[in-house]
Amino acid sequence: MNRVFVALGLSVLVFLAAFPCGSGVLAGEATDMLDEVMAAGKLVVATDANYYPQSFIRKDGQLDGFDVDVAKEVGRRLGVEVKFETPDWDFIEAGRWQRRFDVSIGSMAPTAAREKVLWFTNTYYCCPAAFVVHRDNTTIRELGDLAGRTVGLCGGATYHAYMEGRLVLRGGGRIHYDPPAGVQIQTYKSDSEALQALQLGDGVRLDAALMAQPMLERVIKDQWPLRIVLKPPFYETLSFALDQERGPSAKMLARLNEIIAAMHKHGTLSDLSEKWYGGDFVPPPELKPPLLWLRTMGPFLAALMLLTGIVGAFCLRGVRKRSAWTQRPLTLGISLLTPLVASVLPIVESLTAKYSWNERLWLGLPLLALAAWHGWVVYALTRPSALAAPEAAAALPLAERLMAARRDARARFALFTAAVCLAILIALYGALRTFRLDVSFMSEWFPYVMGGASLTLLVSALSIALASALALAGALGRLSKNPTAYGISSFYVSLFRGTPLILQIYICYFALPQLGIILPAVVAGVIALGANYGAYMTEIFRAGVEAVGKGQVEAAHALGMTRAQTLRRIVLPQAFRIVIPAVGNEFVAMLKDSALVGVMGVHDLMWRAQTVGRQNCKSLEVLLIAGAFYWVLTILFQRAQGSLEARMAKGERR
Amino acid sequence: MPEPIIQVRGLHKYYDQLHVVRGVDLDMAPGEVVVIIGPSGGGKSTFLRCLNLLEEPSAGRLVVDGIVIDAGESGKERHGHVREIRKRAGMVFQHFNLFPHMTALGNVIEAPITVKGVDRKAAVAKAEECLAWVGLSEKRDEYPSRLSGGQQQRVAIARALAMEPKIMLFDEPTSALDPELIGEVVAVMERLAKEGMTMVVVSHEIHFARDVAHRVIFMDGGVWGEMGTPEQIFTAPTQERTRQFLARILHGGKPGRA
Repeated sequence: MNRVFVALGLSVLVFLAAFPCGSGVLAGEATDMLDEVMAAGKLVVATDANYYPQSFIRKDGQLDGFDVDVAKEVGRRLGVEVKFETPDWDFIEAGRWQRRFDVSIGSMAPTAAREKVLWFTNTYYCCPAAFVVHRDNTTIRELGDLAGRTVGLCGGATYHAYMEGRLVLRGGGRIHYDPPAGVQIQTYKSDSEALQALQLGDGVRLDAALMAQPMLERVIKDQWPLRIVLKPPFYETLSFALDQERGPSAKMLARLNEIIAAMHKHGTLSDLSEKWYGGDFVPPPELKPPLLWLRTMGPFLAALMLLTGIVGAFCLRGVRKRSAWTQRPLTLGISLLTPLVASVLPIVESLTAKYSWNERLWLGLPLLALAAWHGWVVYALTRPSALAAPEAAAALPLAERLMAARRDARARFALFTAAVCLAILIALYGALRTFRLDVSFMSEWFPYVMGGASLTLLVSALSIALASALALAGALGRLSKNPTAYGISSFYVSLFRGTPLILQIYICYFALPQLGIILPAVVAGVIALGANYGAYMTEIFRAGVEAVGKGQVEAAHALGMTRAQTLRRIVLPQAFRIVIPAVGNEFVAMLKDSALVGVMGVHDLMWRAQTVGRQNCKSLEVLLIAGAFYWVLTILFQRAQGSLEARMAKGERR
Repeated sequence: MPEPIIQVRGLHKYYDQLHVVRGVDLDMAPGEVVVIIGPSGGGKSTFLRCLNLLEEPSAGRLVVDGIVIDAGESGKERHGHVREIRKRAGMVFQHFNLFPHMTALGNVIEAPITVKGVDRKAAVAKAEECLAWVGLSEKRDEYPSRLSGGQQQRVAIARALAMEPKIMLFDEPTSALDPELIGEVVAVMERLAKEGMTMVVVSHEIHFARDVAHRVIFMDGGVWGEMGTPEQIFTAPTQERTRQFLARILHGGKPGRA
């Protein structure tokens, strides 16, 4: 045991020592960044994909937008290939990119704070800021009217600096008037969240908001109940940015400035700005009639219901004859209730759609009739008299009749449980409808958002594997009498349980590179998640091992087994069964915490949902998709856990 | 007296301040059956558990089948000695301590395979023999949770016997059993004694002690109160304490569990 730990420690030390040496050699060659980029033939551009129309994700998963077009043009003029990275805005702004990307082309305004860590090019375009109020507002007409009101904006952005009176614009920008006095500032994580708060109603959450005018024009065009007021307080001057820690970049900066000047001169930037900001917005996706999917899916659904209804009718005879159906209440319940559940949503949808009554009935009535027939079958099947089949029962011996009665009770219980869940689902759906969700938007973006599911699953699975391994090692360390093993594992548990997971992810992604360990985002995420959950699970595993009776260990020892044999053959198998429920809980939590890797620009399910939601100001719609996926996954996982528990319980003491 | 198979000299055991075993000596010949009786807290179980080092003696010397253990030693060699003793001395516990995640057969083949390195086929054959010997052949594939207390204890005996021990230690093997299940376990123990097994039994089964034991020891306050043949102890005890104790257990039913 001892030697293993020493060897482990040594190899970790060697590993840590080797990396800084390697990076030192690289840093020794002081070439300008321009030479490096030209040599690589590739320019890595960072742009936050949360901003329409600057840069955003298209439905096919490709980046698009004004900044993306500008970046592509810059790449063309440099004669290199452009590759995009999409970290969160905070990371781009904070500098210290660790060579993850070469240049930020993301409508960033130079500020005093940012100039400490970043180098800025000349201005490539200006973007007007604008105040916006709810359409119903009549009281805010001039600047002074904002006094005592609440104004929402994106925290940390230039608008925030402006409102606090500390905005200094560089590169020829000008502030047209001073910020209003006596304003209460409410910051949000992004512009779109501020807008969603404002559109709830005049004065509900906010009285006004301040942000980029192009964004406002777009949502107003989208029928949001908003109105732009006052003149633009300033035009934000926006530049490319380079990382100061990257090393000599003077040539690169000069070359970029040349390119910007040329693009201004050739009218390229004006064209692009016309394309993205002018009256010429890309038309928003044409809204499909909300029930289009129903028109195509309706016949399938009707056929399914008819089929299961007929099968159900046969079951009805089968039940009377005591066929195998009553012994499988779950199969019965699922096969009969699923079509019924599936039919409820379209029925509600079609009967409340904004169509003429004629059309509503045409769509809804056939389904309603089928559902009624179906409901009757379910009812008839679960009627006590149907299950008890009195004429047949009288002939049976008492024991068999009692068993049959118990089986019937179980079948009824399963079916009514399913019915209750169904009722809750319907209620939930009704509540969601009052949010006026854009269903067609959801179905349009569904494939893209779900495209992140595989990554979410991958990250979760790898993290779970790592966490389990760490937890096992940690628990053995915590139970060890060896001070080295005990010390290491206790420290590990204390540190990783005592600090926020998000900090650990930041450290893996942003601090380790300073030691020369540059990990891909997915790997960094898996390590942080695995280490964090491993620490929690260490304590679970330890408790599980301790819960195995002392008598078990004594019996094994008395038979001559060594400590290791006792652990492997006697204690761990029993501990494993004890910890399954608690570990299952951790796994479920981890599944959802895997969304945190999104901060590193890993395009997982949650990142995709948030990004699409923000750039279209329809967060709820896409987040619901992601939420449903997590939920379904958790349900499946719980089922698996349940069957595993049942299998492991065979030797359980009663 | 032939070469003793168990030799104990000046054995002491402390739990912190508590002095549980206060210097006892014992010599046992091969094939001898010794029953230790005595009141709760008298140190009987502790003494027994010192014999296979489940408890570490605080002072004294122990020689079991030629293997010498001195209190206070440590190190790799000592570990080997301890395991050697455990291989040769099987133990049966008050609460059976069967492995609940294994079948009866799994419990019996476990130690031969992992400790002795016997191949599985041979271990199963031996285990079936042992289970048959305790009369539980038909229960080989049952999990302990589905066995009665008496059946569990017999599987535990079979588990110990599968290691082919020279000595068997019994720590109150019948105290946790319902009265009607005690008989089947005692019968197995009697048969074992008849076949010449060296046995140290901590128990209050007076019948077993009277009919089977070669020697009975009354242990009280961490020392031997009285030692002798069953006739001596049960019919003509010399000590007042022994008399009182016997009167209690013979007339007042079961005494408290030590």
